[in-house]
Amino acid sequence: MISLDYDLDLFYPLSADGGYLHLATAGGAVPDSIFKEVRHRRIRSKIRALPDELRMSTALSPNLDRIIEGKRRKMADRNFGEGVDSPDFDQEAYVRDFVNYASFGFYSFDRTDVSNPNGSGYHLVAYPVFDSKYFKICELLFGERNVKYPSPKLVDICSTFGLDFYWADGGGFVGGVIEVDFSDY
Amino acid sequence: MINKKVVANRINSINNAFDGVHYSELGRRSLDSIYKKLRYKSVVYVKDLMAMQKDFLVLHKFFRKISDGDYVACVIGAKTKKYHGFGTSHVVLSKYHPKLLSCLQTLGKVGSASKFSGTGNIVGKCAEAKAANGLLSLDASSDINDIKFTAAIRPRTMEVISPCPNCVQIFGANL
Repeated sequence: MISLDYDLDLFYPLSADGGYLHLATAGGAVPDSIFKEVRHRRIRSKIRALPDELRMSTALSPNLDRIIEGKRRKMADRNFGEGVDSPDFDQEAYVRDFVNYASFGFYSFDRTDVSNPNGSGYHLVAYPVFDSKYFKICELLFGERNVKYPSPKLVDICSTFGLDFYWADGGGFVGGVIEVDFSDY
Repeated sequence: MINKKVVANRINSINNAFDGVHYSELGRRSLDSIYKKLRYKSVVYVKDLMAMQKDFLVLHKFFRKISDGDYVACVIGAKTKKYHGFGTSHVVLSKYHPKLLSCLQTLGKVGSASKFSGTGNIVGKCAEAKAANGLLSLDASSDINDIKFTAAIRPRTMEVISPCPNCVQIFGANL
């Protein structure tokens, strides 16, 4: 399982009606067939090359505070060595890359339990506030015209993506977490 | 002009943030100081790798492997009395220091899934193992119990990653 070495970026369409999802795997287990797919790297390359003037506004997931609180609690419980203070959780550094993807139209998810490579729960970090720039972005990234705005509701995203949506309270995390079964892709 | 050598040099330069062979050097440093150095290296690494990701469409035909533009999942700093070093989750090494190898083999075959319950990790893959291997290879007087580790971090987000059960089993109280 080569994917355990890497923090991959994966991109999937939400539905035939439009919308795109970004997943950061954080060293999680992903089938080698997906790991080797060039298209994810191609999409990422195109996103990195998009001009700043196409950025849309973004919002953070309403559940993010609770997920970050879970991460903070885990850090606070650890001993980092004699004379070493527990490092503070840097929320700005944490959200930066996800906000970047959201600003270009992606619902950007992170794998929730980064300490467990088999954990398949992902939580929404940031999402776009759509405006007319979205149509130009879709054209540049995917050659798509006549796209519609996707539904902004997380529960709709999960149902259209064929994912289970539930409130999880395990492993110290509480928040909206989706389970991704990569065998479906 | 872009060619295989130019791209290889660029990849090596990025990997040198932690070094392709998992950078270790002589010099006493506190764990706190090594952790700050680890964070600084991670910032530089992410910035350089983002540029590589942007150029993927042009460069990837010269990549040694498709993942050359992907972030590593985890990096860590470590020290003995004389040396400090770094390791990443990237690759399982072909050879480990005998002191470390004997410990790793208690978890299963190096490069295969661990027999130890509660982990899906591959034996020898963790950043801790690479950092420890670099230090033990340089510092013959040190033992595994002499190695102290910083917190492990995920370069993309700078968040701290808890040690996996494999590493707790081998490095125990020093994590």
